[in-house]
Amino acid sequence: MNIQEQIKQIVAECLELDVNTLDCDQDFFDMDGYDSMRSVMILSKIEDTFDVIVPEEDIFDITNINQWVAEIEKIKG
Amino acid sequence: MNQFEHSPLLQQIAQNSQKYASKPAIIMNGQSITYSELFVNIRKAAGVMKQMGFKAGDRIILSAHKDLEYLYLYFASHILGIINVIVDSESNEERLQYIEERIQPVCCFGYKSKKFNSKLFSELNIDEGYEIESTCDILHRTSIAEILFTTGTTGLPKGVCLSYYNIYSSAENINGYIGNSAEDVELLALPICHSFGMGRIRCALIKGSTIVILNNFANIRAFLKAFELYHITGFGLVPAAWAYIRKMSGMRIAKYAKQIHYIEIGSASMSLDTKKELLNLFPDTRICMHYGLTEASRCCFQEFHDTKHLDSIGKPVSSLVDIKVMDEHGNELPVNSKGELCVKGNMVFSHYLEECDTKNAFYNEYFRTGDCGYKNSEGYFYLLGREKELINVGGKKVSPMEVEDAIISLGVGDCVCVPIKDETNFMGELVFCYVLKGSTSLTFEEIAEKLKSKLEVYKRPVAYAWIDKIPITSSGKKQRIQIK
Repeated sequence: MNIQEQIKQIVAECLELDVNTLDCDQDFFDMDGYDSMRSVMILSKIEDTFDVIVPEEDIFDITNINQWVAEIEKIKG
Repeated sequence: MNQFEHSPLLQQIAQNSQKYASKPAIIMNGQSITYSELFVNIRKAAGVMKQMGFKAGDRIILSAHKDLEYLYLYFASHILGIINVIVDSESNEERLQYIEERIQPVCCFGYKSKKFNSKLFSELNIDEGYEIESTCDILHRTSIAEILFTTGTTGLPKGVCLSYYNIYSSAENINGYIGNSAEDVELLALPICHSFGMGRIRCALIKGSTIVILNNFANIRAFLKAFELYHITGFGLVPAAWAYIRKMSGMRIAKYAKQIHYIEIGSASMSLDTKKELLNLFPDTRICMHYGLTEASRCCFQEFHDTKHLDSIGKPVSSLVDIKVMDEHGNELPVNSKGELCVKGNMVFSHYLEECDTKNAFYNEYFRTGDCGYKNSEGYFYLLGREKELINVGGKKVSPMEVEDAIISLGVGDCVCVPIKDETNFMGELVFCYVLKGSTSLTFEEIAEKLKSKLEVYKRPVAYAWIDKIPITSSGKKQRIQIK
């Protein structure tokens, strides 16, 4: 699985949505079931899966799946 | 004005509809409602419910969606003497059915009930209601205005019956302590199915201030933007929300510190370091942390600038509230002695819905909180722990028994749920489950998957382990504390 697929899988799992229905450019806040608890679940699963710590300053600007992909690619270099 | 004599809260809103007629009372979902419009819509909503044939003493279930209709109906019930039963809009079906059976509502609003008459908020046409002017005369201040279901220690929710006097007194006490005024603009992102969130709305509307309501804290950008857009001067928080704000937005909130007059915090404990951090970020803000329960509202407050007592839960919210530390016979214990915190006051409920729940809930007029603590010689109260075995997930209380029952219903012989510390520090505690070895053919993954349709996300265990034997007391109760 590539990074995008892995992140989609995490988001789908945390929001209890079908992975095939996810739009990678859709704002998380427009997705069903997105709340603070689930957004923290997404963050910690991403950090665990990719073994990274996402800088606080970056988190604020991540609002969709593709931005997560770019962030992980940036950290992983 | 003798109108609505039973409900000082309604009287106050009626007065504010004259005094602050064109001032925004509520801003929500892109709509701004003035005090005058609010009062008209509340009376129209009462008209709609009267046309539906509801009368004083009837019970309705209100699913706490952040919709204006929800608020109109909530206050409209006060006009007619209809008892509001407020439920979380994310309640699972089993909980809803249990509450419906206990309540026997004339109507459920905000969701579709399988058994009872129900209406979605979108199906209501409040504009078409006629404005009710007065109320029936069988209502008193001590009449029951609302019933909130708490997480019972037995796993079954308990209905807390609160009178018009209770809910108004609670708001008055809190306003008196916090010192907010009509000039304040408050931001509310807390859920409104619990007494904290709804309480904030009542506090603001009594004062004639403006309350801006957001769906939740998740959209941190919208949360911060609101500070600028509406010139927010106060807000309510739970510790999990604060951890979330900090993690998701760094120190951005500090930019607004100067404009913030007050912050109310509650529902779970907060570490000393976090309290100090808040104090540093908001040096000129009244940061008021409450200790409270649905049954006794917010009965104790501690303001963070009183740095010597940051580790305490503070003192009673007003001179009308008294807290005693009592032994197991209901005798008051001396200063510095450890016992159960018991509360008396104008906001303390009088009874649970079921007589049997009320039986051991009081020592005379003092409500037994089930929390253990002591009072020091200066009159500050300190919390040592709770006797009730609830798990506090980010401020939401979870009954281990409810989770265990749900797991057992999947085909698990036995299990026991205990709190574990949330290592990420967001939620405080999380649910951990020990499953009795050999009592099921299900794997942990299968249990977790099947639980999704049974329990809300915060109630589901985050991890599982096998256990050889579940320790029980001689009376057959699970000894959860031993396992921790």
